[in-house]
Amino acid sequence: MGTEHLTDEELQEILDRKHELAESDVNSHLDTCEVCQERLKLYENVYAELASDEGFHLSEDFSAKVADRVGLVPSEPFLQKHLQLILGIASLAALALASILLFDISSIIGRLHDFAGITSFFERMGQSTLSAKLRSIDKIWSLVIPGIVVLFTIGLVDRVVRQQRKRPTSLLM
Amino acid sequence: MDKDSKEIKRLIESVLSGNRGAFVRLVEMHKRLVSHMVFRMIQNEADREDLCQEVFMRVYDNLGSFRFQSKLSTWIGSVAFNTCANYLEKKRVPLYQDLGPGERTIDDCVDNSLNPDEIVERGDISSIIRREIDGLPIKYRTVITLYHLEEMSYKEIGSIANLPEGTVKSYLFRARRLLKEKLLSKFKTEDLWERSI
Repeated sequence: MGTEHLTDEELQEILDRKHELAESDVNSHLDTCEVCQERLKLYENVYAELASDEGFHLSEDFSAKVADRVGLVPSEPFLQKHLQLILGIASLAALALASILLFDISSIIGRLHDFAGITSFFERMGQSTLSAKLRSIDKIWSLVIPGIVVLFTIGLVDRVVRQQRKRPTSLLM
Repeated sequence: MDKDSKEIKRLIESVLSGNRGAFVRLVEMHKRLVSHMVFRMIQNEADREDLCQEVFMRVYDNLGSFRFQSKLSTWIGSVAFNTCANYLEKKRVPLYQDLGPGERTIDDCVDNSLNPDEIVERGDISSIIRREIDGLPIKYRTVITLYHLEEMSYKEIGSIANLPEGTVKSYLFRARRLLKEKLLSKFKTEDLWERSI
């Protein structure tokens, strides 16, 4: 390369790793030319500063804040998520148990026998006492139980619908 | 499609299905890129975090239109660039300050207000270069940030900043040469070596 100094472009290319330093004329010139060595040093200062991560720091909960702003709700723990369902089932179970203990539900269960085969199931299981109660069902209770089931179903549907509303309506432009 | 692309695709699908955790992960993966771009493009500190949030809100709103024609990071970078450009337009800050005949040159854009005594007193090459970088036109700052901090290719930078690859290369070269010349003009080279050690 002789006495001609390296151009700025060549010096930048060296630092961009676009020159094969080991075998180039550029490298041999650099070995002997102090002027170009100093210019390369200047560029090294500039490059080092350009690559330093000086930026500003976002708040620690930045990602959560953005998720809140776009309307994405945090996913609930399993127990919390299904609390309503669990409470519903527990309520029904408690109601059924209370009915058995406090009221004469034999007539109710007797009616259920006609369409559900519950009594024959208990008979097979040897639960004759309960089975006997099941046979005598009251007309009013035969309406109350389906009513409870309907209300419970409505509650579940309502919950599903409300969950759907929390989701974004459209993610497209 | 490689493993990373498949993973990104699954992540996007999860976000589109309303998965908050997936969106938080997407933000975590790209907040460094966005914060660097906003930092270099926007000088008003008070607005920076809000703008970063706005970038990701736009990303969320438009994610369904992402067609994998580029890397997700490139696409998010372009959303960040456009969001900042809109902000600057509202504030009437030009993206280019040195284009066209008769207008300011890139050298004019750089701060020349420091006198040599001040520089010696501050004695910090790093802070001087930073100050010079802040004086560069916004598109130059964006290009050098994406190249040096995010290690993006000319093509990716061009996609983000709406510039041809040749222009990206030219901006990089001119900005770095200018910074080098500013350093040289403010210090004797021997001083520089002493200060950089």
